[in-house]
Amino acid sequence: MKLLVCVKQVPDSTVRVKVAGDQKAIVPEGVTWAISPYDEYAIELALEHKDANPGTTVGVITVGPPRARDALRQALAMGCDDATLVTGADVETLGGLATARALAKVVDEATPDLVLCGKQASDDDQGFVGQALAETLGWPHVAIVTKFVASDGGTEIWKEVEGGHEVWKASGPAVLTVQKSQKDPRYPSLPGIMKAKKKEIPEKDLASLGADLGGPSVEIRAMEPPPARKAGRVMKDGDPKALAAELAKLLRDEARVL
Amino acid sequence: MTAPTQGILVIVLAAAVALGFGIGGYRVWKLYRYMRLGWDEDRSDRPATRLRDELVIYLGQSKLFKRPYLVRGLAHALIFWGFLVITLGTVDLLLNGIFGLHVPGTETGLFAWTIDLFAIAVLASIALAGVRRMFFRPPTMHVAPGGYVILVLIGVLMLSLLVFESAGIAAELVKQGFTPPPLAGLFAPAVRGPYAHLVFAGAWWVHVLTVLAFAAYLPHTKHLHIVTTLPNVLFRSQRPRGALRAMADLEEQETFGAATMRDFSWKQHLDGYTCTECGRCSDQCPALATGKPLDPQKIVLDVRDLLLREGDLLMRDVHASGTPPAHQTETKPEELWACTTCAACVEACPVTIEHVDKIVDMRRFLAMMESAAPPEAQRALTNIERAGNPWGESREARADWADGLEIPTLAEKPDAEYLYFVGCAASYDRRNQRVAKALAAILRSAGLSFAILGREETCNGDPARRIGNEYLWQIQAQANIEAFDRYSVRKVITSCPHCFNTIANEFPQLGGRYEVLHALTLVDSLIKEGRIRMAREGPVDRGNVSGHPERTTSSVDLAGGREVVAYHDPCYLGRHNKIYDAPRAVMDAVPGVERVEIEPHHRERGFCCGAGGGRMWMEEQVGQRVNHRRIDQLRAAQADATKVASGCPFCLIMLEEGVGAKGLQEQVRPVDVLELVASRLEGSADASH
Amino acid sequence: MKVWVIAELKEGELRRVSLEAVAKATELGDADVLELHSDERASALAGATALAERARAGAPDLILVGATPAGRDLAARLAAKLGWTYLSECAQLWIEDGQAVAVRSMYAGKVRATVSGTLPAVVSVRAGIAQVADAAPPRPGSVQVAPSGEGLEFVRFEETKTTGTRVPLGEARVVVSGGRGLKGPENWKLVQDLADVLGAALGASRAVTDAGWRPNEEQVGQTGKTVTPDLYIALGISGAIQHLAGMSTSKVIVAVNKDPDADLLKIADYAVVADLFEFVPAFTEELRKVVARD
Repeated sequence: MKLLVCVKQVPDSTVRVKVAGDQKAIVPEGVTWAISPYDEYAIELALEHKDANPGTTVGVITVGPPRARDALRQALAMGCDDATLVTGADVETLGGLATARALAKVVDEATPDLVLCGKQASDDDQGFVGQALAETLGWPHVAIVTKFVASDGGTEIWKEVEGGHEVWKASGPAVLTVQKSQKDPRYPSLPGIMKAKKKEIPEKDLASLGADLGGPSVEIRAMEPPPARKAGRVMKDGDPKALAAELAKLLRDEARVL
Repeated sequence: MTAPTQGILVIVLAAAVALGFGIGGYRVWKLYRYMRLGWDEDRSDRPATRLRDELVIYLGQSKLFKRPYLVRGLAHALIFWGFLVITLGTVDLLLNGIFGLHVPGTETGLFAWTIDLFAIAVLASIALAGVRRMFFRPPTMHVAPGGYVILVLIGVLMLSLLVFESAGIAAELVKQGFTPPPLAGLFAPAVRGPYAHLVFAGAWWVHVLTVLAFAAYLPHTKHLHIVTTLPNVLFRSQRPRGALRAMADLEEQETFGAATMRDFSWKQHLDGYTCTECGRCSDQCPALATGKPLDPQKIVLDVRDLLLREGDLLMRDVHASGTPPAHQTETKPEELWACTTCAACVEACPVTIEHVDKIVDMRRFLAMMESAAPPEAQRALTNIERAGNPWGESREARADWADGLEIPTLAEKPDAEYLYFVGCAASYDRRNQRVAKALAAILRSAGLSFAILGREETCNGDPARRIGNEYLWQIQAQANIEAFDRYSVRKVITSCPHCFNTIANEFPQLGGRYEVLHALTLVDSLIKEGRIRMAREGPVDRGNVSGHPERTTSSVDLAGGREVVAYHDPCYLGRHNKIYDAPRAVMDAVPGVERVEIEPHHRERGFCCGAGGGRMWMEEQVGQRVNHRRIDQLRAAQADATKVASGCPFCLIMLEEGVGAKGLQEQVRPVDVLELVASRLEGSADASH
Repeated sequence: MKVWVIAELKEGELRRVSLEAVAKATELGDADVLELHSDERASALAGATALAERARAGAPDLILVGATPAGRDLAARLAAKLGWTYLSECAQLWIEDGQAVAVRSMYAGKVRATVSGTLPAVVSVRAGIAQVADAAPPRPGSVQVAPSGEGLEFVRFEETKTTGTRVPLGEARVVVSGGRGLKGPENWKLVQDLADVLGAALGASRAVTDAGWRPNEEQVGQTGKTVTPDLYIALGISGAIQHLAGMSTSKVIVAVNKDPDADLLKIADYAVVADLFEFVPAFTEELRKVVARD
């Protein structure tokens, strides 16, 4: 089987993002970049399939700035066979639909059996590009996937829902957006890291793909820095019932988490 | 004494010698070639120290005399020394028998007496050994038939020696001019008469043939240690004990860690030959003691056995790799991950085997080649890589513990004399942040010029190295070395023995050389210099030394103005770096503290808290928690101690967990020694700010 | 302004978030509610195909979908199919100068952003987008979906047997965790009742999973699961760093502990120093009232 994984490089989850002065973006300096966590699970799912079915190839692509090469190297180190970087001017402000169309061009050329990606990226938290890619390709898609198995005449795909899993069967190529699973994505071995360092990562120019990069996009009007964790409110010395009522009210009205 | 080897008997003797040494020698040759399958580690550094170790450890048998093995150690030492002396005699006998020559000195009364006395000592010792094995065998001892064979052989040797000495005196074959030695002289009369010559000859031949049988048999058993201990001690690692072996040129290597038997060095294989199967390492291992599958002796012997099994294959085919030692049995990885690298085994081993290095080499294979470290450990490593600390807390929060304390960073004060390397635990763990604050207060009160790296500090990679991910360790260590050198750091203080160990003993492997002090060593000298003044009496200032009110439920026991505090030796401070006295001296200098010991598990025999070797980041699935066992020991030894003090953030976390789990929060509180000092600093309410 | 709401049902009733979406739609313009019907389970693709046809005909300005996992999936495919603006998981929404403007979180919930896109747009909306109106919602119109074809067909449903945890811990929005302070496994009803009222997942400290009081799957912490819920309630947990490492990025942390020095109280947004055996049942009752009211 030929698998293709689409990944995005995002700030690592441990980074405390800082909002820039103009409030339109985060400050990139000092940010540790990593493969978006759900995308890592997508890579892991693809590699597990490869482990079980020798002869499977796993390619990985990303649309992003030059630093996104590091994310591709990480994917190669984990065990992917080849990687492609799609980059160019204005690549960081590309809208979701445009990204999907650019990816679709690369997918068309590569003709994989399945395309996998994380169910959402940890920077915009949207969960759109996977579905948009499927739409552009004219393929079916299954979201929130935890497992897939090649079977007679297609692929059986497990989708996580409340209370269990729906099993779907795709008779041809499909896009899978992948959910986190119990098992962590594999840590690359050192030989894998060393090999990946030497591997060539071809670059494709965004503009030359011939994709329609227009279409609606989401504009960021303003970003608010994460609220500093205020000192907590200590509640004590009272009748438990009174404290309980007060806390319930606070959670509903002040914290607004109910 | 002339040997009874006239005429044809000389030929017989020569043939017997050839046979005995031939069989033995062939085996030794084979073992040597197997050993050389290992890579060529250079162990020729520090020749003077090596020679000294040889004299003290090998000849002096110093490591035999550790508690609780004193009597057994003495018995063995006597057997060994006796063996040395008697061997000299044996050489003399053979030379005499074949060539009619004598080794100089062997005809003297002194020699005869020495031999006699040692023969008695040896006989007594082996009798003791035999009785113990037969009637009082400890459960951890496994005695193979070979054990009894050796005892019998030695017995025969000694008895035959005594008999022919006696007979020699009786038959007046002994040069006159000295008093007959005790035992030989005692039996001589019984052998007088015409039979004396016969008895002499008979006993002589029994003795010599037994020696030759010994020579043939020895190399096929663990008793080869008699010979291999000599080089094993001479070529022992002279690295600081806490320092793991460097791996240079990671970029160039194709395999990492012990993927095959060729990836152990010749010295590591020599360790296998030298294991006497005494079980002292097993006795001291905290993992084994708490029911984990790890037995250090088994690790050593399994590697040896694998070499013996696969030696021929590997010698025959230079491309063959054989079985990876970490997969030689199905449970091997579990055994390896159970190790806390506390080095109690290395400390206990009388023949200087290096168990920890073997275990780490196999871990390196699992971690780097197979990416097979336990998942929780992997997570900690990924966190170190991405966030600079094993908990995955934000890099930007690293210096938050110092908020409001006005502790300068090196960027703000580049000429500070000392860098206080805080470490991940004191930076992020709330409990340990109090220790960092305590140290800052102490250093301030002593007027020391210091600064921290603040956000430029990142994990020094110690957990990565212990888990076997050498690559990540190098990355982290290099990052810190670069930061240190950017500020021309010369002196470093740490409050964590793991930070201390890697910065002091391992950074030099990457070119980072600094003067490193653990906080307690520094505080000890500051106290002795009179730069730290502690309040003599009165209630302890429980206020704001560390910015937190201490638990109101457990008060300092000032009955009679003292609190009883037990000291727990952190493995990486004590056993690994031999810092036993400074923390104790500091405790003794704190007014109102009565220091007690967790005997017998203290100092070199300290029992691990369970967090070392990267195990802080792993789950214990089997047996009793190591830290719970430690608390049991504490309570058994010192039920009156209201506090247990150590000098390590991980020991603190583990002891806190253990005390909590056992519901002992009211009875005993874990603290850091620095907190004891800080809480009594004169003018302490100001000292922290 | 024509606003369509694609309603999601649970056990025959409109889900709460759909009701909120309807309320929002009504606030913004003329609301029409649609329900998808099919003979068998239909994929998001099938749903989107059917809806797109309707939308091209009906030309609404805005299509709202509740941001449940199914809703988001459907909305994404629909937006792509129509080529419209897509705004996902919005906590607030309004129209300004012919644009849909919304407030949503980014960077794994660490940043609040105000974003906008041209109309027409498909928007998935979070719980809390609006107050549910007292009046009954308009009767949903039906959209028939052809379930199979297009290269994807439903095979079967596999039920997951869960022990104790009714809501999976990993992605839960609310987590209620118990620690040693509960004194024993027999007291876990306290935790479960509270979790039930909130629709929360159950978590536990390592101490209690080690002691066998709770299954390992519930363990939150450095060696267990890391959770990032909107609300994390810790009952009787001291809060050593091993536990914190698993939940410190929760949006709101509530800690209940008898010991005023417990570390978790120090980092909690709401730290309740009380006997949890008295506090928790009272709290559960109060919450029951609050949830019912809404």
